[in-house]
Amino acid sequence: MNVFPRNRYRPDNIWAAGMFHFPMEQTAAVQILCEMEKNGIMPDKEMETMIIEIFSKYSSPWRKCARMSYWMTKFANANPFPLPDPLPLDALELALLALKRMCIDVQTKISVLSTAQVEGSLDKTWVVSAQSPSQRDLVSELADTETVYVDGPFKVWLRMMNLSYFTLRANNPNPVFHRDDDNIDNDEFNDVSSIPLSTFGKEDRDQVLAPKKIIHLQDDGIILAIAATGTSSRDSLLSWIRLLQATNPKLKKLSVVFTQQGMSTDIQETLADERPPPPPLNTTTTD
Amino acid sequence: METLLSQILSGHRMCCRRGNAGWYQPFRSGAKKYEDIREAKWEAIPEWEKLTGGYHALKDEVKMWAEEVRDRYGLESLYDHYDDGEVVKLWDFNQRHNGVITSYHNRDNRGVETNDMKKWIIACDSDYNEGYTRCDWTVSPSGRALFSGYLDTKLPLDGSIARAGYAFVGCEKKRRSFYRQDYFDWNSFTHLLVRCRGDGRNWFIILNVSDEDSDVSWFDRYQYVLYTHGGPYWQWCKIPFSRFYLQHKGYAQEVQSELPKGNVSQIGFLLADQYSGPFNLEIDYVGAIRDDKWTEETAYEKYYHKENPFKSPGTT
Repeated sequence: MNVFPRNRYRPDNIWAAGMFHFPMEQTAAVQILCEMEKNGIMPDKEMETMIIEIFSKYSSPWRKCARMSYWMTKFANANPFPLPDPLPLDALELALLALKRMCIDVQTKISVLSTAQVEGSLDKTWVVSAQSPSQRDLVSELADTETVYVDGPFKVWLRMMNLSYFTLRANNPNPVFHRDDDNIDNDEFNDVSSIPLSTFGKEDRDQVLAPKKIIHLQDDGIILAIAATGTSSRDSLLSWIRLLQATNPKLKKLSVVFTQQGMSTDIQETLADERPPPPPLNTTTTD
Repeated sequence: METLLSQILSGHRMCCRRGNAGWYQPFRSGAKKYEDIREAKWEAIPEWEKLTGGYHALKDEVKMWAEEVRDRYGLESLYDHYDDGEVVKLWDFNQRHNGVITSYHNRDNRGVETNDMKKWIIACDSDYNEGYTRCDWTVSPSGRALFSGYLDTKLPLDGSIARAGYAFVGCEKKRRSFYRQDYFDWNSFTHLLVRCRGDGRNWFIILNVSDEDSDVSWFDRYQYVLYTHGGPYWQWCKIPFSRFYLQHKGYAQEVQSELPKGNVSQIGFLLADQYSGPFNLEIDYVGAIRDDKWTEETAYEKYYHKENPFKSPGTT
């Protein structure tokens, strides 16, 4: 933007301003601002004074610059699940960020483990595992004959990076389909007409005040833990289960089923040659 | 999040003038090539099918018209009163509710199949030969609607496309019988609800407020972002209608006003974040809620800044 000479493109009268004088130069300046916008850069005071010096505030580049300042500040903090800027490129740190975002139970404990701690593991890699105390209680409450499933790999996006994660899930015997458990105004939490009291044979005070496990009871299964590994291979998942058994002794008795079918890498970047071939394009003649 | 701004920030239309910037909109679909594609599809239908299709369409439209007459002069009251904080499902995609009337827009269906998924349509750039995105609207393993596919930002090399890659799923435009325009009446609601499970990508929620009769409003849309966090947990998003901002053909407008809640004819989710890769969005329902504590009209300033050169006299 500094390339433009000063005192040359400023409009002299109302007609010059309104009739888009110096269209090529103004268009070029706007294109520079468009590129900035595409990369998420907001114009700063220096840029603003530069544009006003070059084109005056009755020009298209200034209008665009002012709009960028307005809208970018409006949406800068609009994301309720923000990610750091710039995003770390390391897979482990991305996994930590992803799991932190995904786990909506505030008590979730995210631990970084290593498969090297498990003897007999082939893959020596990191494992990031997320489990909350409520989920641990749910595991210990499962019957001995239950099977738990390791589902995955599912994809989660963190801006432009793509990560695979796996979930440990058990079948939910009483799925509830009509519940809006995230609705904080839900009457069933505010209902004081029948509070269970331990003196009348209902639960203890400690049990009732325990963190809500309800959030993990989804209708397609009970989510018991989520994890991401360095290699996303079956062996690393096996090591994850072994590592989980330290905090969930029940897992040693339950049968674990792995529902994966193939191998996948955790960070998937689409390279040009990996993309599937495009379908043939019907070129229409341009007017 | 930053590259989303490239969609939502306004670009001065004069700067991208290709000789056709202005208020006059010659084509309802936006450009001659889209009209050509529509023409080609119409030509491809055999004559006999056109006749039988027309006959069936006439039957359906007359039936629809008869129901409208009945609604207007009938004894049932169509005024719905919803409590403060009551969740009203506008479209319920839970397949277990297929035989049951659970959604607001289905409550007038008398015995007709109540699968809301069938009313929603998908579109992506490959439909118009502008890209290579693939998308599907299917039922997910947990019995909800799943919009999935692969967003591809590879440019088709025909010289006229600068950016590619979008995928859209939305409801069919609300209409009265005989293809006349109609609107949803959401005046009694303050927030839009979406219960969904995304994959961390950010989607645009687009409300179509166009008026068929006035071409200046044909491409007016109110838009906001649906932020997802990914993961196996369902996400319940409550977005106030006042936070939607007006955009015309993708460019955010300088003059913002509140969303006309009685003038929306279509709602949709658009993915255009310029990251190539697979996407999926599982939607349980799209609903609305009335929150009496919400009094905001619009989240965007309606006044002009005193420095704005077009609103006040000043020197260069």
